[in-house]
Amino acid sequence: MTRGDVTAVGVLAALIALAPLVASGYQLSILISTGLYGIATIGLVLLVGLARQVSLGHAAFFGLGAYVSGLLATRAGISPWLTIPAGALAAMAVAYVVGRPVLRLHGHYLAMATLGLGIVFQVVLNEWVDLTRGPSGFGSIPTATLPLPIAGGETASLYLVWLAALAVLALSLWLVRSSPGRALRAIGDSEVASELLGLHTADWKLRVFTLSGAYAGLAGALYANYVTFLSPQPFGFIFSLELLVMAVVGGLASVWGGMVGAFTLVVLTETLRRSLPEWLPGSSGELELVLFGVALAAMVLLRPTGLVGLAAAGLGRARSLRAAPATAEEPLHAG
Amino acid sequence: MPAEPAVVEARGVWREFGGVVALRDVDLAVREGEIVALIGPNGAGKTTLLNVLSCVLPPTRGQVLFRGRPLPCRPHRAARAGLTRTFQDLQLFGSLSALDNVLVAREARGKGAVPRGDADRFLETVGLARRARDHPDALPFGQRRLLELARALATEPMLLLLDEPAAGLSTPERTALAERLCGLRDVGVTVLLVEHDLELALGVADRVVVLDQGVKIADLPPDAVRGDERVIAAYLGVA
Repeated sequence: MTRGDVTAVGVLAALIALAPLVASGYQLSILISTGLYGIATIGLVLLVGLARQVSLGHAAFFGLGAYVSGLLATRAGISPWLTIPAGALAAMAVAYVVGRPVLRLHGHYLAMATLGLGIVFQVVLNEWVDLTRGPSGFGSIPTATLPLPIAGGETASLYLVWLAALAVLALSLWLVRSSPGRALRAIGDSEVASELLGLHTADWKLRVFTLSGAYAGLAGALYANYVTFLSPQPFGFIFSLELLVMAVVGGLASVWGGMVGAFTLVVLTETLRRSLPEWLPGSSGELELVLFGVALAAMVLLRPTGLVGLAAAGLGRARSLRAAPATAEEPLHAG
Repeated sequence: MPAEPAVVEARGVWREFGGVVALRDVDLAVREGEIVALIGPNGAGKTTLLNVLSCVLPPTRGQVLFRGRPLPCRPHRAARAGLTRTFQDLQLFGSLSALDNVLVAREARGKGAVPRGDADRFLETVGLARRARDHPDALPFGQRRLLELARALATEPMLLLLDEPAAGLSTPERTALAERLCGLRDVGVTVLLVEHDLELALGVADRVVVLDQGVKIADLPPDAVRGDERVIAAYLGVA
């Protein structure tokens, strides 16, 4: 982690700690959603941005973490402090089992395998009624409470989710600048050259996919703990696509892109949900999906480095202008 | 006393792509400490042979031995056994700085992080110490070639396969490259070199192997190459 990253994580932690003092319940719920989706999206940033592997089924890992955690807490009466890590571990295990054979192949087989996994997961949730209660779902999931004198469930959820989100953020920031991060970037850039330096590329891709699955599972388990009700509907292909859009819009080249993308899409979704019926009477949620698709295409075409890349380029330009002030003869921008 | 096995040996190697035969029954042995130049016209099969010798492509028929044993079937295993290479089409890690390109090669050999200073010396070897923080796309083409060489050297290989390492280098850089290659021989690194710059290839090589249309047509000492009729007919032409 760079000094800048440490400062930024510290500032973010302070802002989250102070948020309940100034933010409304609705605004806190946006921050909680950002933390939840940010955890899963950071995993995708590592997978897609570093190792250049695409998952089209991350909603399944998210849902698996949620269901394992929720079912263990409601059916077996296990403490949420244990069921949350259990959810993450279950998603991690499934990611390992799915990724192990697939990642030995060259090409985009992971995208196909995870797409299939997502479909199978939906079928299992809907059809295994004895366990999951099928499409109607189940509720009354016991929640973990932080040992802090905090009033209000929203604040407690905010702190719990962001405790995990900040830990995931810090771990991932460290990871990308460490030896494993270099290896993953190298593999993403040239698999054949990485192999010929001695890197077992299939193993490295499996490791990052497994970690990415664990992040999504952790986010799902925290989601179950927050909403206390689970049904199969939120964990479909559309949600996998939304997570990918968050990663691309935020920026695949930086771990921060995961958080920025999650925040942007959560705010955009909420704004659209509130304003669309006013702007376009009779519009439905499918229009939201179309707008997501447009956002994804526009970002890939116009700014492939995402919002974080845009901000970094702006900062770099500002710094270079400060270092070499323009004179009357030298215009600030050419062209 | 039995002879020391070759560091790398191709025995009756064929490589076909559909109906096209790129290598036809090629035998080649490179012994420890040797620099062998592989020359031939475009499309002769030089890079294909390098791909087969480095496990990037399996031979259609025949066998490749590394230090007397069958070459491991996966490139990373071959690399860990002591083989590495550079590429005709550069395969640098564009998202990493020059220093990190070398560092990742050092780390790939062991099991964890290595000190940055440990990687610095390989950049110094090719004269790129000042460009350590730059990314490959910020370097001129010739320096990118040198960075790829530094990265390959950072694995401290027993056998180094170089695919046109002088392409894009300036005359002083070519001279320096030739000196470095001779220096590698002095420290026991075995080199198989594909090179179109005949001056450089003949200047550094102990032996020259000539390929034409996938067939090995000659295996000669460097001073015999220019006078060999088969090589003249297939590659050099009549002046």
